Amino acid sequence: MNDPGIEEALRQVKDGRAEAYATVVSAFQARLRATVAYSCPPGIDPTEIAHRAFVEAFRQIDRYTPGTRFFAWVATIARTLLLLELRKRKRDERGRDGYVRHVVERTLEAELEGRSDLEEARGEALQDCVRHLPPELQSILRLRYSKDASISSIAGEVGKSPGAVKFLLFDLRRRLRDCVNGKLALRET
Amino acid sequence: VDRFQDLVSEHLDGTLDADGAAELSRSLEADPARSALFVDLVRQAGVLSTELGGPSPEAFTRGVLAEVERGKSGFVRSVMSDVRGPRRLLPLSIAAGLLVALGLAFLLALGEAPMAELVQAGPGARLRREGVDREVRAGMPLRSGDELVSGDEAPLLLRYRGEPTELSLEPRTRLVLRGGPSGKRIELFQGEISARVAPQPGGHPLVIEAPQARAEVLGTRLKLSAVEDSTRLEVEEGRVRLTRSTDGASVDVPARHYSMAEGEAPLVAEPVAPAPPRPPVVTGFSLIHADAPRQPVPGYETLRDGAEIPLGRLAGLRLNLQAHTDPPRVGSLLFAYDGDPHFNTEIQWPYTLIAGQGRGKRSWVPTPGRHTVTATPYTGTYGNGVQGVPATLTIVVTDDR
Repeated sequence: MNDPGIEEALRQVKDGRAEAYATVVSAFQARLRATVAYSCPPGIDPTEIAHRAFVEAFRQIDRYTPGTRFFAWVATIARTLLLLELRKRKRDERGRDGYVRHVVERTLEAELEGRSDLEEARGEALQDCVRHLPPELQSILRLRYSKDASISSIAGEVGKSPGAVKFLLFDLRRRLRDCVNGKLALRET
Repeated sequence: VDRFQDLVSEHLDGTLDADGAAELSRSLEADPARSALFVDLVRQAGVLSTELGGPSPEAFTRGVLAEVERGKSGFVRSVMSDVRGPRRLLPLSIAAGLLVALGLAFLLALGEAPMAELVQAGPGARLRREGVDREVRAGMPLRSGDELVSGDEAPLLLRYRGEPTELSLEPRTRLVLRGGPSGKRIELFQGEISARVAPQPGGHPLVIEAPQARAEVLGTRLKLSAVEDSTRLEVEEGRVRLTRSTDGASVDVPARHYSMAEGEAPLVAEPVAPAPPRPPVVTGFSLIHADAPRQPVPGYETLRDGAEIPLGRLAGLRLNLQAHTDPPRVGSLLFAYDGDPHFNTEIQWPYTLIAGQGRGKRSWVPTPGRHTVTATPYTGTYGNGVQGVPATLTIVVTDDR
């Protein structure tokens, strides 16, 4: 069930007031982008898939049943778009960089084919794990992923050697993965 | 384990080379546990990039609304075209058109709505958006601020939305697309683009800015090449104004003419020379003074294969290496130097290994040892047209100082 404000906005969109769609997109965009990103291989832009999913949902808004979960519906659309992209890439074998790309794309494709929606829990757990990192580690992540800084420029910023930053980042990535797995295991029990 | 960590880190940080990728592939294929860890880390990196580095929530929402609104506008237009009696409905059509134009101008001003899309892209092409490199594919929407780089071999073709304007980026071309209420703009840093530009709305020209000059286009077919120190405009149809960045001097270039902005040389429009009756040939190399008047260094007018360049004897001179061709003027000349097959492309005579005309520019400072230079002439600009006959020179640089 959606928030009453979202329900009202969706009702207005159905009535032809496109501007009300901004309320809907604002409410769900971060969640959808993170959810799509988790199932998106390098080379496919999760922001683009989320964008297209929202546009497609708008075009088909008459098929949306009021009172049902809008996010689940738009995530299903995003899953379909993502699966189409993955299949398109499988057909186009040129320029492949071997097993590295293959192993990621085939894992994601198999996972998407085996379910009707997108995996949500992992993205949420990761957000939670990042929030609980010490501030200095959060700032290293921000330098790497927000500013797209190279290892050497991060090293310059934080006063460590590039080798140390490389090691730190790998350790951080593995800690985040363990944190996510721990949270999911806890949720299952 | 350390090596695996290294390879994964380099992959995630975008620094893994081809040999490393092959090694990582082998490692993943051999060990399912490592493969699972790798997939998890790649997926996690995707979420972190999106969460921390993607467009702001406001920008994303504006982008979706922009496309939604455009879809509605398209619907209004298609309905209007089905209505009989266009004369009676003309004021309404104009009003609707104005609304669409204003809406598009607003969206372009926001810089978030797609303004063009990729029609064709070859291997190695890439898009840099908001500081993140992305792989490109046909059909991908392009936004203001997107930086495009074509690959080493194939051109990259894009088409603007809502008009038949097309842009072809020759291999190794780098540019940034810009859009705003005052029209479209392309910042060309390096390479060559060919454009078929539809008449532009509201009298706002499409502006192409290169390092040495800018071209204002209202509707025409043209080709613009930019190398480090010169910009060449060739107009196939229509007329284009070329303005030099340094002093504001300008020239109107009519159809089948070209103009070259380079240093302080006069800015003039010259007729495009007809294609030569036979492919051009590189006839030899000279060691020349890097600074004007760029005469050959006495004793080094004709360099033979294996020629010695003694830095001690030439101390104090600023040097460059010139390739000579038959005919003397060709469309362009590509230099390969040691391991770099695209070391420099020259589009203006004299054709020199190191780009730079006149005083104060760079000179050639060779390192001691054996070096190989190959010069390949082309009838067209920036390595286009018919390839002529190349020549290769091996030189031995000694330093007895």
